[in-house]
Amino acid sequence: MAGPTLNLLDLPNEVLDYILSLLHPSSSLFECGQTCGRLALAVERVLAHMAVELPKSVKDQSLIWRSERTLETRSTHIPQGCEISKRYSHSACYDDNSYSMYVFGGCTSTSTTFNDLWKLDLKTRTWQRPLSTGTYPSPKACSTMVLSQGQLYLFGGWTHPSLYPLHQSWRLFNELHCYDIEQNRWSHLTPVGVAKPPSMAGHSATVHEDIIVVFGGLQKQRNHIGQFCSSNDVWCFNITSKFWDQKHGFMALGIRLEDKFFWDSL
Amino acid sequence: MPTIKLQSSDGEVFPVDVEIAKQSVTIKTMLDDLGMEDEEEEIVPLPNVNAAILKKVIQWATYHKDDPPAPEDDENKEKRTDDITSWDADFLKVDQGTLFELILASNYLDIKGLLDVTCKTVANMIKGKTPEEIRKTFNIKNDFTPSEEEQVRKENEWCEEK
Repeated sequence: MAGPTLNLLDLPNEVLDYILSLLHPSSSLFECGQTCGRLALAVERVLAHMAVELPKSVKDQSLIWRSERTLETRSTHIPQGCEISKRYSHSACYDDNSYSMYVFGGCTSTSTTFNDLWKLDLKTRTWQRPLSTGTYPSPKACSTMVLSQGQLYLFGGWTHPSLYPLHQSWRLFNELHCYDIEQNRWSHLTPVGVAKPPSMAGHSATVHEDIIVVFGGLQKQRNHIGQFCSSNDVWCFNITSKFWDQKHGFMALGIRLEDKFFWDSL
Repeated sequence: MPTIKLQSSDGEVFPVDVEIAKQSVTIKTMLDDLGMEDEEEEIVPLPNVNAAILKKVIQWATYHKDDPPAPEDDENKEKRTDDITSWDADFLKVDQGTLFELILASNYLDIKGLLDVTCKTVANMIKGKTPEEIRKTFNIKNDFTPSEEEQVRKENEWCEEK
Protein backbone atom coordinates (compact mmCIF):
# COMPACT_ATOMS: atom_id res chain seq x y z
CA MET A 1 0.00 0.00 0.00
CA ALA A 2 1.72 3.11 -1.22
CA GLY A 3 0.61 5.72 1.29
CA PRO A 4 1.38 9.39 1.07
CA THR A 5 5.06 10.35 0.92
CA LEU A 6 6.77 10.05 4.27
CA ASN A 7 8.04 13.10 6.07
CA LEU A 8 10.78 13.62 8.67
CA LEU A 9 8.08 13.91 11.31
CA ASP A 10 6.70 10.45 10.42
CA LEU A 11 9.76 8.86 11.99
CA PRO A 12 9.29 7.34 15.43
CA ASN A 13 10.80 9.20 18.37
CA GLU A 14 13.75 6.87 18.86
CA VAL A 15 14.90 7.35 15.26
CA LEU A 16 14.31 11.09 15.35
CA ASP A 17 16.34 11.32 18.56
CA TYR A 18 19.14 9.32 17.01
CA ILE A 19 19.33 11.65 14.00
CA LEU A 20 19.38 14.71 16.26
CA SER A 21 22.08 13.18 18.44
CA LEU A 22 24.34 13.27 15.37
CA LEU A 23 24.15 17.07 15.30
CA HIS A 24 26.49 19.37 17.16
CA PRO A 25 24.88 20.71 20.33
CA SER A 26 26.21 24.21 19.80
CA SER A 27 24.78 24.70 16.32
CA SER A 28 22.41 22.67 14.16
CA LEU A 29 20.68 21.06 17.11
CA PHE A 30 19.30 24.36 18.35
CA GLU A 31 18.19 25.43 14.89
CA CYS A 32 16.20 22.19 14.79
CA GLY A 33 14.58 23.02 18.10
CA GLN A 34 13.20 26.21 16.59
CA THR A 35 11.41 24.61 13.65
CA CYS A 36 8.35 23.05 15.23
CA GLY A 37 6.92 21.65 18.43
CA ARG A 38 7.71 17.98 17.82
CA LEU A 39 11.36 18.67 16.98
CA ALA A 40 11.64 21.06 19.93
CA LEU A 41 10.59 18.21 22.22
CA ALA A 42 13.01 15.82 20.52
CA VAL A 43 15.87 18.31 20.98
CA GLU A 44 14.97 18.59 24.66
CA ARG A 45 15.12 14.81 25.01
CA VAL A 46 18.49 14.62 23.26
CA LEU A 47 19.95 17.38 25.43
CA ALA A 48 18.60 15.75 28.59
CA HIS A 49 20.18 12.48 27.51
CA MET A 50 23.51 14.20 26.85
CA ALA A 51 23.33 15.86 30.26
CA VAL A 52 22.98 12.44 31.88
CA GLU A 53 25.62 10.79 29.74
CA LEU A 54 28.38 13.35 30.23
CA PRO A 55 28.88 12.96 34.00
CA LYS A 56 28.60 9.18 33.53
CA SER A 57 31.34 9.25 30.93
CA VAL A 58 33.47 11.50 33.11
CA LYS A 59 33.07 9.00 35.93
CA ASP A 60 33.95 6.03 33.72
CA GLN A 61 36.83 8.01 32.25
CA SER A 62 35.57 7.22 28.79
CA LEU A 63 35.64 10.66 27.26
CA ILE A 64 37.15 11.25 23.88
CA TRP A 65 39.20 14.38 23.46
CA ARG A 66 39.90 15.87 20.13
CA SER A 67 41.32 19.16 19.07
CA GLU A 68 38.66 21.47 17.71
CA ARG A 69 39.55 23.66 14.80
CA THR A 70 38.02 27.07 14.85
CA LEU A 71 35.24 27.48 12.29
CA GLU A 72 36.75 27.54 8.83
CA THR A 73 34.68 30.48 7.74
CA ARG A 74 36.17 32.66 10.40
CA SER A 75 39.65 31.24 10.63
CA THR A 76 40.67 32.26 7.15
CA HIS A 77 41.53 35.81 8.16
CA ILE A 78 42.84 35.48 11.67
CA PRO A 79 45.17 38.36 12.30
CA GLN A 80 48.52 37.51 13.85
CA GLY A 81 48.46 37.07 17.60
CA CYS A 82 44.81 36.16 17.84
CA GLU A 83 45.37 32.54 18.74
CA ILE A 84 46.42 31.58 22.23
CA SER A 85 50.02 30.39 22.47
CA LYS A 86 50.94 26.86 23.55
CA ARG A 87 51.00 26.43 27.29
CA TYR A 88 50.29 24.13 30.20
CA SER A 89 49.16 24.46 33.83
CA HIS A 90 46.93 27.39 32.93
CA SER A 91 43.68 27.92 34.78
CA ALA A 92 40.36 27.80 32.99
CA CYS A 93 36.77 28.49 33.80
CA TYR A 94 33.50 28.20 31.91
CA ASP A 95 31.04 31.08 31.78
CA ASP A 96 27.52 29.89 31.04
CA ASN A 97 26.32 33.42 30.39
CA SER A 98 28.53 34.16 27.41
CA TYR A 99 28.95 30.48 26.48
CA SER A 100 32.71 30.98 26.70
CA MET A 101 35.70 29.51 28.40
CA TYR A 102 38.20 31.84 30.05
CA VAL A 103 41.83 30.81 30.25
CA PHE A 104 44.44 32.53 32.38
CA GLY A 105 48.23 32.26 32.42
CA GLY A 106 50.07 28.98 32.51
CA CYS A 107 53.59 28.41 31.33
CA THR A 108 55.68 27.25 28.40
CA SER A 109 57.85 24.15 28.30
CA THR A 110 60.77 26.34 29.37
CA SER A 111 58.81 27.52 32.44
CA THR A 112 58.09 31.04 31.29
CA THR A 113 54.84 32.00 32.99
CA PHE A 114 52.07 34.18 31.52
CA ASN A 115 49.50 36.54 32.94
CA ASP A 116 47.34 36.90 29.86
CA LEU A 117 43.61 36.24 29.85
CA TRP A 118 41.89 34.61 26.88
CA LYS A 119 38.31 33.94 26.05
CA LEU A 120 37.25 31.04 23.85
CA ASP A 121 33.85 31.75 22.36
CA LEU A 122 32.28 28.29 22.07
CA LYS A 123 29.60 29.25 19.59
CA THR A 124 32.05 30.61 17.04
CA ARG A 125 35.04 28.66 18.39
CA THR A 126 37.26 31.67 18.20
CA TRP A 127 39.80 32.98 20.65
CA GLN A 128 39.63 36.56 21.83
CA ARG A 129 42.02 38.33 24.11
CA PRO A 130 40.08 40.99 26.02
CA LEU A 131 42.47 43.87 26.62
CA SER A 132 41.55 44.58 30.18
CA THR A 133 42.34 47.42 32.53
CA GLY A 134 43.06 47.50 36.27
CA THR A 135 45.63 45.66 38.38
CA TYR A 136 46.87 42.55 36.62
CA PRO A 137 47.81 39.36 38.46
CA SER A 138 51.43 38.19 38.35
CA PRO A 139 52.45 35.85 35.56
CA LYS A 140 51.84 32.39 37.01
CA ALA A 141 50.78 28.80 36.42
CA CYS A 142 48.87 26.27 38.56
CA SER A 143 46.47 28.89 39.92
CA THR A 144 42.76 28.32 40.28
CA MET A 145 40.08 30.40 38.58
CA VAL A 146 36.45 30.17 39.62
CA LEU A 147 33.40 32.12 38.55
CA SER A 148 30.87 33.75 40.80
CA GLN A 149 28.27 36.24 39.66
CA GLY A 150 30.08 37.59 36.67
CA GLN A 151 33.44 37.76 38.42
CA LEU A 152 36.39 35.45 37.86
CA TYR A 153 38.40 34.82 41.02
CA LEU A 154 42.02 33.89 40.47
CA PHE A 155 43.95 32.57 43.44
CA GLY A 156 47.45 31.27 44.14
CA GLY A 157 49.86 29.88 41.60
CA TRP A 158 53.46 29.32 40.85
CA THR A 159 56.23 30.94 38.86
CA HIS A 160 59.75 30.01 38.03
CA PRO A 161 62.08 32.92 38.74
CA SER A 162 64.09 34.38 35.93
CA LEU A 163 67.58 33.02 35.56
CA TYR A 164 69.12 35.66 37.85
CA PRO A 165 69.59 35.59 40.76
CA LEU A 166 70.67 32.02 40.36
CA HIS A 167 69.88 30.45 43.72
CA GLN A 168 66.31 31.63 43.88
CA SER A 169 63.73 28.89 44.33
CA TRP A 170 60.27 28.77 42.79
CA ARG A 171 57.91 31.38 43.89
CA LEU A 172 54.40 30.58 45.11
CA PHE A 173 51.57 33.09 45.42
CA ASN A 174 48.68 33.71 47.74
CA GLU A 175 47.38 36.72 45.86
CA LEU A 176 43.71 36.85 45.00
CA HIS A 177 42.55 38.75 41.94
CA CYS A 178 39.13 39.35 40.58
CA TYR A 179 38.21 39.94 36.95
CA ASP A 180 34.94 41.67 36.21
CA ILE A 181 33.70 40.17 32.92
CA GLU A 182 31.24 42.98 32.24
CA GLN A 183 33.69 45.81 32.92
CA ASN A 184 36.69 43.94 31.57
CA ARG A 185 38.75 44.91 34.57
CA TRP A 186 41.19 43.14 36.91
CA SER A 187 41.47 44.12 40.54
CA HIS A 188 43.60 42.87 43.39
CA LEU A 189 41.56 41.85 46.41
CA THR A 190 43.02 42.73 49.78
CA PRO A 191 41.53 40.43 52.37
CA VAL A 192 39.96 41.86 55.51
CA GLY A 193 41.24 40.40 58.80
CA VAL A 194 44.47 38.71 59.79
CA ALA A 195 43.91 35.13 58.62
CA LYS A 196 45.45 34.57 55.20
CA PRO A 197 46.15 31.35 53.37
CA PRO A 198 49.78 30.49 52.73
CA SER A 199 51.15 30.81 49.22
CA MET A 200 50.22 27.75 47.22
CA ALA A 201 49.94 26.22 43.78
CA GLY A 202 48.25 23.22 42.25
CA HIS A 203 45.39 23.38 44.76
CA SER A 204 41.74 23.01 43.80
CA ALA A 205 38.97 25.53 44.26
CA THR A 206 35.23 25.77 43.89
CA VAL A 207 32.47 28.21 44.73
CA HIS A 208 29.67 27.46 47.13
CA GLU A 209 27.12 30.27 47.39
CA ASP A 210 29.33 33.28 48.14
CA ILE A 211 32.26 31.29 49.49
CA ILE A 212 35.33 30.20 47.56
CA VAL A 213 36.60 26.92 48.99
CA VAL A 214 40.26 26.13 48.41
CA PHE A 215 41.69 22.68 49.05
CA GLY A 216 45.16 21.18 49.20
CA GLY A 217 47.97 22.28 46.97
CA LEU A 218 51.69 22.61 47.15
CA GLN A 219 52.98 24.87 49.93
CA LYS A 220 56.32 26.03 51.13
CA GLN A 221 57.51 24.21 54.21
CA ARG A 222 58.22 26.48 57.07
CA ASN A 223 61.89 26.91 58.06
CA HIS A 224 63.12 24.93 55.10
CA ILE A 225 64.29 27.03 52.23
CA GLY A 226 63.40 25.51 48.93
CA GLN A 227 61.36 22.66 50.40
CA PHE A 228 57.79 22.16 49.33
CA CYS A 229 55.10 19.88 50.64
CA SER A 230 51.55 19.06 49.64
CA SER A 231 48.77 19.93 52.02
CA ASN A 232 45.20 19.00 52.81
CA ASP A 233 44.23 22.38 54.24
CA VAL A 234 40.83 23.81 53.55
CA TRP A 235 40.54 27.56 53.24
CA CYS A 236 37.38 29.55 52.66
CA PHE A 237 37.13 33.05 51.26
CA ASN A 238 33.90 34.86 51.84
CA ILE A 239 33.29 36.98 48.74
CA THR A 240 30.88 39.32 50.51
CA SER A 241 32.83 39.99 53.71
CA LYS A 242 36.28 39.40 52.10
CA PHE A 243 37.43 37.31 55.08
CA TRP A 244 39.69 34.29 54.73
CA ASP A 245 39.04 31.49 57.16
CA GLN A 246 40.82 28.16 57.61
CA LYS A 247 38.52 25.20 58.25
CA HIS A 248 39.79 22.40 60.48
CA GLY A 249 38.67 18.86 61.16
CA PHE A 250 38.83 17.67 57.56
CA MET A 251 41.82 15.40 57.97
CA ALA A 252 39.92 12.17 57.54
CA LEU A 253 38.08 13.37 54.47
CA GLY A 254 41.24 14.20 52.62
CA ILE A 255 40.99 13.58 48.93
CA ARG A 256 37.31 12.65 48.97
CA LEU A 257 36.50 16.22 49.74
CA GLU A 258 38.08 17.29 46.54
CA ASP A 259 35.94 14.79 44.66
CA LYS A 260 32.84 16.27 46.11
CA PHE A 261 33.77 19.78 45.04
CA PHE A 262 34.42 18.50 41.61
CA TRP A 263 30.95 17.04 41.30
CA ASP A 264 29.28 20.03 42.84
CA SER A 265 30.85 22.30 40.33
CA LEU A 266 29.79 20.07 37.45
CA MET B 1 23.67 -21.81 -0.50
CA PRO B 2 20.43 -21.75 1.52
CA THR B 3 17.94 -19.07 0.65
CA ILE B 4 14.79 -17.80 2.26
CA LYS B 5 11.86 -16.02 0.74
CA LEU B 6 10.93 -12.58 1.97
CA GLN B 7 7.46 -11.35 1.19
CA SER B 8 6.77 -7.63 0.99
CA SER B 9 3.63 -5.95 2.29
CA ASP B 10 2.24 -5.84 -1.25
CA GLY B 11 2.74 -9.55 -1.78
CA GLU B 12 5.91 -9.71 -3.86
CA VAL B 13 8.28 -12.54 -2.89
CA PHE B 14 12.08 -12.11 -2.96
CA PRO B 15 14.35 -15.14 -2.64
CA VAL B 16 17.40 -14.04 -0.62
CA ASP B 17 20.59 -15.71 0.49
CA VAL B 18 20.20 -16.51 4.21
CA GLU B 19 23.54 -14.95 5.11
CA ILE B 20 22.49 -11.70 3.44
CA ALA B 21 19.07 -11.73 5.10
CA LYS B 22 20.66 -12.28 8.49
CA GLN B 23 22.10 -8.76 8.46
CA SER B 24 18.63 -7.96 9.68
CA VAL B 25 18.66 -8.78 13.39
CA THR B 26 14.87 -9.15 13.21
CA ILE B 27 15.11 -11.88 10.55
CA LYS B 28 18.17 -13.48 12.20
CA THR B 29 16.33 -13.79 15.53
CA MET B 30 13.30 -15.14 13.78
CA LEU B 31 15.34 -17.82 12.00
CA ASP B 32 17.33 -18.70 15.12
CA ASP B 33 14.21 -18.94 17.25
CA LEU B 34 12.26 -21.00 14.77
CA GLY B 35 15.25 -23.11 13.81
CA MET B 36 14.16 -23.05 10.18
CA GLU B 37 15.55 -26.42 9.16
CA ASP B 38 12.80 -27.56 6.90
CA GLU B 39 13.11 -24.19 5.27
CA GLU B 40 11.82 -25.43 1.93
CA GLU B 41 9.30 -22.95 0.61
CA GLU B 42 9.19 -21.14 3.93
CA ILE B 43 8.04 -17.57 3.37
CA VAL B 44 8.80 -14.76 5.81
CA PRO B 45 6.13 -12.06 5.60
CA LEU B 46 7.34 -8.49 6.20
CA PRO B 47 4.07 -6.56 6.56
CA ASN B 48 5.83 -3.23 7.20
CA VAL B 49 7.96 -3.08 4.06
CA ASN B 50 6.72 -2.64 0.50
CA ALA B 51 8.34 -4.24 -2.55
CA ALA B 52 10.16 -1.14 -3.79
CA ILE B 53 11.80 -0.55 -0.41
CA LEU B 54 12.50 -4.23 0.25
CA LYS B 55 14.28 -4.38 -3.09
CA LYS B 56 16.48 -1.44 -2.07
CA VAL B 57 17.18 -3.00 1.33
CA ILE B 58 18.20 -6.30 -0.28
CA GLN B 59 20.40 -4.41 -2.73
CA TRP B 60 22.13 -2.67 0.18
CA ALA B 61 22.51 -5.85 2.21
CA THR B 62 23.93 -7.74 -0.77
CA TYR B 63 26.60 -5.11 -1.33
CA HIS B 64 27.48 -5.05 2.39
CA LYS B 65 27.32 -8.82 2.98
CA ASP B 66 31.05 -9.08 3.73
CA ASP B 67 31.18 -6.10 6.07
CA PRO B 68 32.58 -6.77 9.53
CA PRO B 69 29.82 -6.89 12.15
CA ALA B 70 28.73 -3.46 13.33
CA PRO B 71 30.60 -2.37 16.47
CA GLU B 72 28.70 -2.34 19.74
CA ASP B 73 26.62 0.72 20.28
CA ASP B 74 28.95 3.08 22.05
CA GLU B 75 27.63 6.27 23.56
CA ASN B 76 31.09 7.78 23.59
CA LYS B 77 31.98 7.03 20.05
CA GLU B 78 32.68 10.12 18.10
CA LYS B 79 29.58 11.00 16.15
CA ARG B 80 30.72 11.63 12.64
CA THR B 81 28.43 12.13 9.71
CA ASP B 82 31.08 12.69 7.05
CA ASP B 83 32.17 9.07 6.81
CA ILE B 84 29.54 7.83 4.35
CA THR B 85 31.17 5.71 1.64
CA SER B 86 30.69 6.78 -1.95
CA TRP B 87 28.72 3.62 -2.76
CA ASP B 88 26.29 4.37 0.08
CA ALA B 89 26.09 8.03 -0.92
CA ASP B 90 25.19 6.99 -4.45
CA PHE B 91 22.74 4.39 -3.19
CA LEU B 92 21.00 7.05 -1.10
CA LYS B 93 20.52 9.53 -3.92
CA VAL B 94 16.78 9.02 -3.63
CA ASP B 95 13.80 11.24 -2.92
CA GLN B 96 13.03 12.08 0.70
CA GLY B 97 10.03 9.78 0.84
CA THR B 98 12.17 6.78 -0.11
CA LEU B 99 14.90 7.85 2.32
CA PHE B 100 12.45 7.93 5.23
CA GLU B 101 10.89 4.62 4.09
CA LEU B 102 14.39 3.12 4.16
CA ILE B 103 14.92 4.47 7.68
CA LEU B 104 11.66 2.94 8.88
CA ALA B 105 12.44 -0.36 7.16
CA SER B 106 15.97 -0.59 8.57
CA ASN B 107 14.62 0.32 12.00
CA TYR B 108 11.94 -2.38 11.76
CA LEU B 109 14.32 -4.98 10.31
CA ASP B 110 17.03 -3.86 12.73
CA ILE B 111 19.83 -3.40 10.21
CA LYS B 112 22.22 -1.14 12.09
CA GLY B 113 24.51 -0.30 9.20
CA LEU B 114 21.70 0.87 6.96
CA LEU B 115 19.97 2.76 9.77
CA ASP B 116 23.25 4.53 10.58
CA VAL B 117 24.00 5.64 7.08
CA THR B 118 20.44 6.80 6.34
CA CYS B 119 20.23 8.76 9.60
CA LYS B 120 23.60 10.37 8.91
CA THR B 121 22.30 11.40 5.50
CA VAL B 122 19.33 13.14 7.15
CA ALA B 123 21.63 14.77 9.74
CA ASN B 124 23.75 16.12 6.89
CA MET B 125 20.63 17.58 5.30
CA ILE B 126 19.99 19.50 8.55
CA LYS B 127 23.50 20.72 9.23
CA GLY B 128 24.30 24.36 8.66
CA LYS B 129 20.69 25.39 7.96
CA THR B 130 18.60 28.05 9.65
CA PRO B 131 15.29 26.95 11.24
CA GLU B 132 13.41 28.34 8.24
CA GLU B 133 15.63 26.46 5.79
CA ILE B 134 15.14 23.24 7.76
CA ARG B 135 11.36 23.72 7.60
CA LYS B 136 11.57 24.25 3.84
CA THR B 137 13.85 21.24 3.30
CA PHE B 138 11.56 18.84 5.12
CA ASN B 139 8.26 20.55 4.48
CA ILE B 140 7.67 21.06 8.20
CA LYS B 141 4.90 23.34 9.40
CA ASN B 142 5.83 25.87 12.04
CA ASP B 143 3.28 25.01 14.72
CA PHE B 144 4.63 27.33 17.40
CA THR B 145 2.37 30.10 18.59
CA PRO B 146 4.12 33.50 18.33
CA SER B 147 4.69 33.54 22.10
CA GLU B 148 6.14 30.02 22.08
CA GLU B 149 8.41 30.97 19.23
CA GLU B 150 9.59 34.01 21.14
CA GLN B 151 10.38 31.84 24.13
CA VAL B 152 12.29 29.24 22.13
CA ARG B 153 14.28 32.01 20.51
CA LYS B 154 15.09 33.55 23.86
CA GLU B 155 16.24 30.25 25.31
CA ASN B 156 18.58 29.79 22.41
CA GLU B 157 19.67 33.38 22.05
CA TRP B 158 23.30 32.54 22.46
CA CYS B 159 23.35 30.46 19.32
CA GLU B 160 21.93 33.18 17.11
CA GLU B 161 24.41 34.99 14.97
CA LYS B 162 25.31 38.38 16.30
